[in-house]
Amino acid sequence: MDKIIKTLSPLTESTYYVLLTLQQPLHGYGIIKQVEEMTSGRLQLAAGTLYGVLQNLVKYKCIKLFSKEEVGKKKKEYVITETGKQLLKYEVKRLEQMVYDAKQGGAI
Amino acid sequence: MVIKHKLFLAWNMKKEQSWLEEQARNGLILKRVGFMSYEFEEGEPQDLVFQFDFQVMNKKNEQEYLDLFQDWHLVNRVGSWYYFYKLRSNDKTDVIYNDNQSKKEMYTRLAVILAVVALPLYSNLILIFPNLEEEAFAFPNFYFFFRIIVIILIALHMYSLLKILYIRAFYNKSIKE
Repeated sequence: MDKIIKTLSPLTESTYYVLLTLQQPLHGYGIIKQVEEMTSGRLQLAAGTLYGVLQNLVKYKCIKLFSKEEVGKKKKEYVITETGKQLLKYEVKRLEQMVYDAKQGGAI
Repeated sequence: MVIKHKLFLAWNMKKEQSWLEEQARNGLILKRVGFMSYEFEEGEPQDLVFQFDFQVMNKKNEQEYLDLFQDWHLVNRVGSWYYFYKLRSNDKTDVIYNDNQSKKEMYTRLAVILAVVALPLYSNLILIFPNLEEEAFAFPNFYFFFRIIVIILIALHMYSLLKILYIRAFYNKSIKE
C-alpha cells in the first residue's frame, strides 16, 4: 500500500476524480459525464488521458472491473477497490493539509 | 475524392494536425489515412480539430478504448496511430490529452515501440567495423553499399528516438515542477 501511495501520490486531477466517481460502478464514457457534472463543467476528462488513468489504476489494483450477474454483454464497468479507497483517503488528507496550511499562512 | 501524399514525422504532430485542419477549412475532409497518403472527400469547409493517439492494444481492448471517444470521429488507425477529429469548440474539450502525465506516457509508448522495432536493424551494427570486409564477404562492392545504408538507417533511427525522448523529457519535467 505504501508503495502504491508513493508511486501515485500526488494524484493527477484526472486520477483523483476518476477515483471519486468510481465509488459507484461506471463505464468509461460515464466517468467523463459524471466528472463533468460533479465539477459543474470545470473539469472535462480528455479521452486519451482517461484511458491511461484507467489502465494505470487497474495496474495498481485501485479499481477493478465490475461484473454484474446479468446475462448479455454490456460496456465494461469499473469500481473502486479497497486499495483505491485507501489511496483516496490518503490523498484527501493530504489536500486538506494543504488547504489548512494555506489558511494558517494567511494566504486565503 | 482527392489524394495527397505528404510525409510528417512523429515529433511534428502539431504540423500534421494543422495541415489537416487547413484542408478541412478548404473543404477537404479526411476520409482515410495511409502511410504518407491522405484521402480526402470534398465537402463543405469545416473548422475541425485533429488529434492523434499512439496506442498498442489488442482488438478486445480497442472497443473499450474507442467507447471513450464518443465525442470524436475516428478516421482510421495506421499502425498504432489513431486519427481522430471533431468540430472545434474552442475550449478544453478540443484535446485528447489534458495533462502532462498522459502526454509523457504516450511518448514513452512511442519510444519503446520505436526502439523495439529497430532491434533487427541494430543486429547489423557489426557491419560498421571496417576490417570485416575482405574476409567475411564474397561481394565487397555490394557489402560496401549495404553498409552505407545500414549506417544511414541507424543514424536516422537514433535521431528519431532522441527527438521523441527529448519531448518525453519535456513533459516529464513539467510534471515535477
